[in-house]
Amino acid sequence: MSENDEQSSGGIITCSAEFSKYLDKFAELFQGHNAPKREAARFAMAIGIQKGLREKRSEWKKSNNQKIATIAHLYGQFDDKGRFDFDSLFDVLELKDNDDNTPIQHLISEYVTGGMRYIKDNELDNLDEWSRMKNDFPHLFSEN
Amino acid sequence: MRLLEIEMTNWQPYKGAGKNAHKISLDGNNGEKNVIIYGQNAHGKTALWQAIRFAMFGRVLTRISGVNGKSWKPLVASDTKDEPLLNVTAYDEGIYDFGVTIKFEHNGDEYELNRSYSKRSGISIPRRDSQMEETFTIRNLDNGRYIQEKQKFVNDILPEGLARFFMFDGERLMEYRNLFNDTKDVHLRNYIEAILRFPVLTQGSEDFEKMGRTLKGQISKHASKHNKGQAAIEDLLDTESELELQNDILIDFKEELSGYNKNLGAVNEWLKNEEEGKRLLEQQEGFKNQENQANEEIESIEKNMSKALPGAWRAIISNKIEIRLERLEKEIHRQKQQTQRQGEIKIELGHLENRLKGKDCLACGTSLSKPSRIEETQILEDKVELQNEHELLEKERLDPDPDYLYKRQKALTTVKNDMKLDMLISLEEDLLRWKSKKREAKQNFDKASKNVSKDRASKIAENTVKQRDLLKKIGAVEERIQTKKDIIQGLEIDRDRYQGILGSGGGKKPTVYRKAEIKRDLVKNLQDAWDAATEIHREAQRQNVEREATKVFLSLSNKSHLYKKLSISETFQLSIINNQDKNDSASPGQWGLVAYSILDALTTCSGITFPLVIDTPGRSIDDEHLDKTLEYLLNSKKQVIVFPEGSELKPDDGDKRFGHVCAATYQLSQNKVDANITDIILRKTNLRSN
Repeated sequence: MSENDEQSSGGIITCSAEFSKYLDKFAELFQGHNAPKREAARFAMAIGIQKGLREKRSEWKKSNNQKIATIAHLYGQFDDKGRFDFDSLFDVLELKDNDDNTPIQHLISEYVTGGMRYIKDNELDNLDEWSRMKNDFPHLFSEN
Repeated sequence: MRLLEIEMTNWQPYKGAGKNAHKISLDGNNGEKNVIIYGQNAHGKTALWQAIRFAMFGRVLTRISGVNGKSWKPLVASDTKDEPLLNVTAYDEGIYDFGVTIKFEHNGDEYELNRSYSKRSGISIPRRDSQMEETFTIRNLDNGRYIQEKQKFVNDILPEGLARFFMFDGERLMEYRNLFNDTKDVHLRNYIEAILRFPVLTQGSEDFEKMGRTLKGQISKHASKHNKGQAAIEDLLDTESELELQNDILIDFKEELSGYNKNLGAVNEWLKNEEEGKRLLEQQEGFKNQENQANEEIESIEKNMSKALPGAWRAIISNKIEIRLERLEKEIHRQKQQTQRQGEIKIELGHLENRLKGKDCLACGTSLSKPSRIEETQILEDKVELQNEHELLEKERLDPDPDYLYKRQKALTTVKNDMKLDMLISLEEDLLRWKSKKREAKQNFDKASKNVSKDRASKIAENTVKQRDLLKKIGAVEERIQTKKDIIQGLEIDRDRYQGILGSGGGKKPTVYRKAEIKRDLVKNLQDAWDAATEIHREAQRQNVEREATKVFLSLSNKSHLYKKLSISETFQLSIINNQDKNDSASPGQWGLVAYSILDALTTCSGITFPLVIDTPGRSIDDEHLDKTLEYLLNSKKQVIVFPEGSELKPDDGDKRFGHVCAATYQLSQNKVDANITDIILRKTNLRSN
């Protein structure tokens, strides 16, 4: 599937080609979930939201070897059969500007990509390195 | 058995008794014995062929019960709503007698069988089967005598369990085919074995078995009385022979033990010179175990960490959500309060209105006096103020849209998750510790490996395993030797005892004892021969059925050029074998023919002479095959009674093609006055004139 195909394919959540392989590797940590790649992408999205790391699709690096990673359809899959209302969530968290017409699936994809960059930079695919999270996300740990 | 006449009295749709009873004759002038009875659906075909079954066995299966069924039609109209055997119109008219009389020829004599029911004395209107009384007689028309054991007489002609193979419904033909496909169906095997008369042979073998058991009992009695010395000689001989055998085995065991000990000596000698190498190898093994243990721990910790991760994304943004949620809840609270205030204003306005008009107080019902002019002005001013406040609240209460707020509140609440990831950090510490242990174990292993070459290590390991195996084998053989020695000791004690007994002398067996033994051997030999013959007969019968069925099937099938034969396995599983010697799935029509062929073969091989009674013969096969099947059956030696439905065989065509091989053909027709009554019309006749 080419990038153009994906752009016209409706509510598909994607990630920059730069992290295609890395996302697969990172998803191995989520084997406790029935859809590890989807859950790993949600994790990356949350990191992106929390740290304000949005990478616009127009700025995504092209790669000759890798294609853009297709993760899941927003409706039914990524939103866990409608359990999570990402439209409302992004709206209430004010994650897009008023003049921003980016479709919701692309907006999510941009935060997923931003989060993936943080994960890669901090080597979170390696479980030895998770104490680093304490500094950037203190609210996740009770002693802080 | 050959049927000559069927007479029905108030039987199902055949209303009429005495000279008005309905009759079917099957006795042709020139020996013709077949009949064709044409009839549309629901015109009494089934009732007619059920009449034969009723006459024979006194009961009729319901239509829905299938070939293996056990659901019987009631005698009179009952609560079950099943169609009764007594004609419904007769019942309504207060006539409660019904029955069937058949005339037949069997083993050269003619018989008349009558089975009928009438109401019990004292019963005015019978409503249940128990209120009816049966009359059942069989009379030999040649000598005028009545048969005493009537049902046994009938069962000797055709056991009820086998009637399914002679009287069947074309509509249910596939059920017969399915019966043959279920190799686990014990009932089916029993039915087939019964029709091929295997139980008689099995009974013979059981009789010999019984005789054998009686003789064995007699022999035991003789044996107990027989001379003790004689038994002692036999026992002594047996014991000595057993002793010899056990001693031989003991020698073998000892040789085996000596071989193991020799090998163990050599291995021990080699390992003695390799003590240092052995120690290093053991060390290596220890380090390897440590590394493996660390790997297992690491894997388990990583698994536990992975379990904590799903859902963590919601916790990551939980603080942002918390803030937004608080804001939303404040907004929602504000709107609720404003709505509440609006309600209060409405009540106050009502109250003011009542005061203006001097009506009763809305809250307590007290009468209010008409306000003074000054008070009226004040009330009007208050009213305006309240109305303005209400208007302002109405604007604010709906901004933002409450639905919008609730939707977002729900979205945030669903995502909100306050889980903490403390566990991950403590697991990470464990992980780091085990990874360090793993590294250490690996380094130690590598260091230990440098001091022992690979070849040397593998030889030491090999000999160590060999040493362990040999010690295990030696232990096992030593145990066997000890057991054997105990057995030999016991046998030696027995031998001494028998030798002591022999001092009292022996004696010959009495004649009666010897005769009983000879009889026992004779019965055993006869039983073996009988069983062998039974097996041969069983196989021969299977082959006969297979051959007969194949012959009929290939002569009827329009695809016979594709098939080689029908195959019937020992468990009576049926298959069509094609020219490539493979099982052929074949079409349902072909399987319908197979079912006909098998039924024909089984009834032929059974040796039972009884008419084939076939209802709706074409229901499971196509027209071309039906023509061929009728042609075959009506020209066979068997007496055949068929009940074709109108579209299967048109009466004019049927009479033209098959009338000459029939005693008569009949047409069933619904009575024009009463639809519950069927009339029988004679069409083509070759009947013997009385």
